[in-house]
Amino acid sequence: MIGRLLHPLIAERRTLAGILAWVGLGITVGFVLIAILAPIIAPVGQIAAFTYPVNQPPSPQHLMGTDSAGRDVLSRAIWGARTSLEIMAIGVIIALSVGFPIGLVSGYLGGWIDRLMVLIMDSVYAFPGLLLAAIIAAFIGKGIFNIGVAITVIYIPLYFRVTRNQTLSVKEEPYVEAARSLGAKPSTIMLRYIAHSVVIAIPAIFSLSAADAILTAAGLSYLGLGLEISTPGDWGRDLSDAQSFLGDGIWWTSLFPGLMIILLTVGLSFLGEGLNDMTNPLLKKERS
Amino acid sequence: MSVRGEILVSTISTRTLSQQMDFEFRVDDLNVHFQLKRPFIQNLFSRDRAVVHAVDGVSFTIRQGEILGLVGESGSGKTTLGKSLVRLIEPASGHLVLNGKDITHLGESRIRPLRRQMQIIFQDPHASLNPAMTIGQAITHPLKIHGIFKVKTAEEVKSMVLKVMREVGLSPEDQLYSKYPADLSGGQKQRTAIARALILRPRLIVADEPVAMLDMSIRAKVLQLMLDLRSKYDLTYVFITHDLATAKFLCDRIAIMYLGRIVEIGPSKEIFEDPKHPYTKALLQAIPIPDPKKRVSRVLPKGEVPDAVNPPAGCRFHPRCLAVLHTCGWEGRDFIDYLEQRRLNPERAKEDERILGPLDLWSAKGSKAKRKVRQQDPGPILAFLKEILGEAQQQMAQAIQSVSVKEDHIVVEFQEPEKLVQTQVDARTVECLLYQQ
Amino acid sequence: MEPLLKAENLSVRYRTRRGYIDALSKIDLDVFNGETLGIVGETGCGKSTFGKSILGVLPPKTQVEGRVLFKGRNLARLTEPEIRAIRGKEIALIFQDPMTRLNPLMRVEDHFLEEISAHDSLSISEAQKKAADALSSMGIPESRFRNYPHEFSGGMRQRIMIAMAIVLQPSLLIADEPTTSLDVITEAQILQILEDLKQAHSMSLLLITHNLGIIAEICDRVAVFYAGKLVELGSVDDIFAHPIHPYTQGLLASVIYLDSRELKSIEGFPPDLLSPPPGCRFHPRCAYAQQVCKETVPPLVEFRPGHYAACLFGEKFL
Repeated sequence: MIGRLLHPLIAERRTLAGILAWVGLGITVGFVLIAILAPIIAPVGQIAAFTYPVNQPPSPQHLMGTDSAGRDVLSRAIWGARTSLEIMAIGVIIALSVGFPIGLVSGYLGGWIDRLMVLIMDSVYAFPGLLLAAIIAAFIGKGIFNIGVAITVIYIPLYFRVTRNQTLSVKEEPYVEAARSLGAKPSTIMLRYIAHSVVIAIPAIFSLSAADAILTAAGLSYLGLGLEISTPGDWGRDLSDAQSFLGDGIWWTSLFPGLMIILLTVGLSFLGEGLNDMTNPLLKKERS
Repeated sequence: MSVRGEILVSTISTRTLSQQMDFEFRVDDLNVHFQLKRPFIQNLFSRDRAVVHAVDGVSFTIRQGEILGLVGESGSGKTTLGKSLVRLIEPASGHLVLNGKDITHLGESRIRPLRRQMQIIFQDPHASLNPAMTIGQAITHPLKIHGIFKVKTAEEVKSMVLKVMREVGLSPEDQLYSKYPADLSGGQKQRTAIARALILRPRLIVADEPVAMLDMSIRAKVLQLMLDLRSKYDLTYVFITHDLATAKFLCDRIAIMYLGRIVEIGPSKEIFEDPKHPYTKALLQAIPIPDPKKRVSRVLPKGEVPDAVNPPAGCRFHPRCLAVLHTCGWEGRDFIDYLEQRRLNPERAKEDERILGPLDLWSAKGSKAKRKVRQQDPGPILAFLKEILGEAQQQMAQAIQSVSVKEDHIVVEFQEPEKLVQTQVDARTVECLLYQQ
Repeated sequence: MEPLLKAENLSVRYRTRRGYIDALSKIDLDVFNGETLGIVGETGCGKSTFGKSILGVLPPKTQVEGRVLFKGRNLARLTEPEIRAIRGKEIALIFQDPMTRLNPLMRVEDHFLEEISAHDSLSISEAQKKAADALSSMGIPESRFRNYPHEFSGGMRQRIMIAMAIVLQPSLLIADEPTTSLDVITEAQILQILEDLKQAHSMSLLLITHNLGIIAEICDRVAVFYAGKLVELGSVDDIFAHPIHPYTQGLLASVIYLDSRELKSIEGFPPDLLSPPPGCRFHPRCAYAQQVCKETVPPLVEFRPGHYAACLFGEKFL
């Protein structure tokens, strides 16, 4: 399975799609490393207020300056990566774990179950994502885990849809019919005959929904919903706090959090788009 | 003495069945229907429910050890029939009786043990193998499904699989065991499909065009393999094909299918030597012979296999049949087709259009074809109709009951066709009025 | 006599992710005026590639060497507009699947009008008349001219495609597996149509197929391709009655026809064209192969008048 994905990544490294994917992968991995190493590379300056002078422009001691609460912007930016990636991971992984099986079963069984699920999923999908997440966040309260869950709901329909579509097309393939004629049970057919084909489509969708999740999480924080003030890094909130100071010419507290959001989102998008372009022909070839 | 070898774990009843009883599979008035998917709006507005009668009242018995050919063109229903035999498709009505047991509507869990007795090989070798499974896994899988790992160790199972691979000519089997389908040739893939079907030691194998997608130079090997396996394992085949030459070579009996019905069924030799049904004759005539010295001028039926949603009335082949009678099922549609054919000639088209009007004024319903006449005097139209009927195919003209004016429509009405009955002629059964006296 | 079409030393290599596929190797083949030349071969022999390379409809990044002369002009060296002028008007191509040629969103009549206006400047009514003539000759009634392709059956779509191909009266019609997906009776009907067309328009027909039956039916000469090479060429009578190349012999022997008494096949399967066998590409499967067959690429030799074969031991099979 992993081999199947790695192969095009390596084989197509010189095509546009391949380059895109590698750049995206590089950026994403970079952020992951930053997130993991945050306690080591930025041990102080991200939570405790007034550790440093307030609103200092970038300087050799504070490469990104300090913010209105006297914190080091660079440290907060680094810890922000951790926060964002945690939220994103929770959200997307739960969405995948729920959407994938439901899509598989719904697509394979069809009938009223399928119609019901499609109705539910389409309704959720139609809702504006940020709004829905905000509503859920309002209900279940603050905290990284809760925000992660709030975002999940937006993405479950996406994984459901992608899985279901692949399932529907693969369901009619002769080798699936062959499995039925051998007497395979539906669960066997779904797991051993259909799932593999769907799995190929997942990484691309994963990256793209991850990018979206980062933005949504940042959006929620920006709106003041979601995370506690004591969270060590919170790009959205930082942006929100920095807004009122822009007029005074304090640009670094807005620019750097914003840049981080953009960069991570772009990295994940590149990875997703690149993977998408590469796996599409694979999907077609699988069927032929 | 049957070379049944290792019998897998199974319920005692099926075990006894396969060892003791002779094999017999009876098909009784089988009907298989498909609902056509149409836009919702269209379904609201049209009165006929778009149902394709893919298999329309088919009856025959499959005897042990024979190779029964199902021969037909597209739309004949042969593949649908084949798949219904192994219950991949649920019949709408009729009966499938396997060794005395009615399996037509058995639920999936009760059919599952019986599936070991009947297997299917598909047409497209490239699509019938799971691309994510190695050859070894693919051939082991049927054993796994039916519980072999409860009675045998992994090594024992592997050697069973390797043995079957050797039998079907997949060598070197140790190497091919761990390869994926993508690494194999078409012929090897088809052999894998055969091995997969064979490993359960079925009694019946339905082979749906098993060599149609293979190169000619390797077809013979795969067919020979199937013949060898038949002798060795006392197999029975239902061999589905559109290729009459292969059917003649391989099959003991053949059933010629047209639009969901069997039009002729009997010993292969008799049918090929002396085909009775006009469709069978047409098929045989149409085959191109790979010998330039034997070029013949062919007399071919016109048109193509019609739409299966609304098949022709009476005998379905009647609009194309070169030996058609006036009782074969002429109906309104045939008359309109005749009008359409006349208009291929530009001079006639002009006059026809002038008197009879544009073709979309005419409509057909069942045995009638009609056209609305408003202010016009129907007289000249009726006269013209009688005149052109003189130029039409004699049998169709004879089948017309009346050409008259009813309310404000001109109506051309046809007689009821004579009912078709399966008739025994010269050792085979034919469904054709020519032989019903 | 100057041939209508002349392929000289034609080689085609496709670029794929795994390397170069040697689809055609040094093909020399002529098509004469008014003749029906059949190209027969199995999977991977290059016959389809040959048809496509004549009209330059090969995928991008394909290497083409050699010349293809049509009425004296080298098709491989023409510019795109020049080739487009020839496609349809002088050389027409029909495929196995008519839907590759028919636009599902365009009415049948409009297909013709578009085709005609691309090459001739006729008035609409003149073009319509031409279209009507072509369609009627295929048995398609006028009442159906304004229908869409999906409203026709497979056989009728094939006829429409043929009608479109011949409406401008090309001198050469290339038919790539035109009847493979059709039923036997429809196939016979289409073959009859192709025969009649040939007579009516004195057109040359290049028929590409794997079906030896239809080759015997309507071809005058036949070329046998194997693994990208031309292995035998001759009149249809000579090839069927006295095949020289062992592959041709094996192929003919393996055909199952109504009077077949036994099943014969050729061992093995066609080679991987990423790295074809050295010397004669058939040697791994040839019952008569010798050491020299593995080393030398056999040239095409005229063993009888008009009958060529690429086998070092062709003499033995005369």
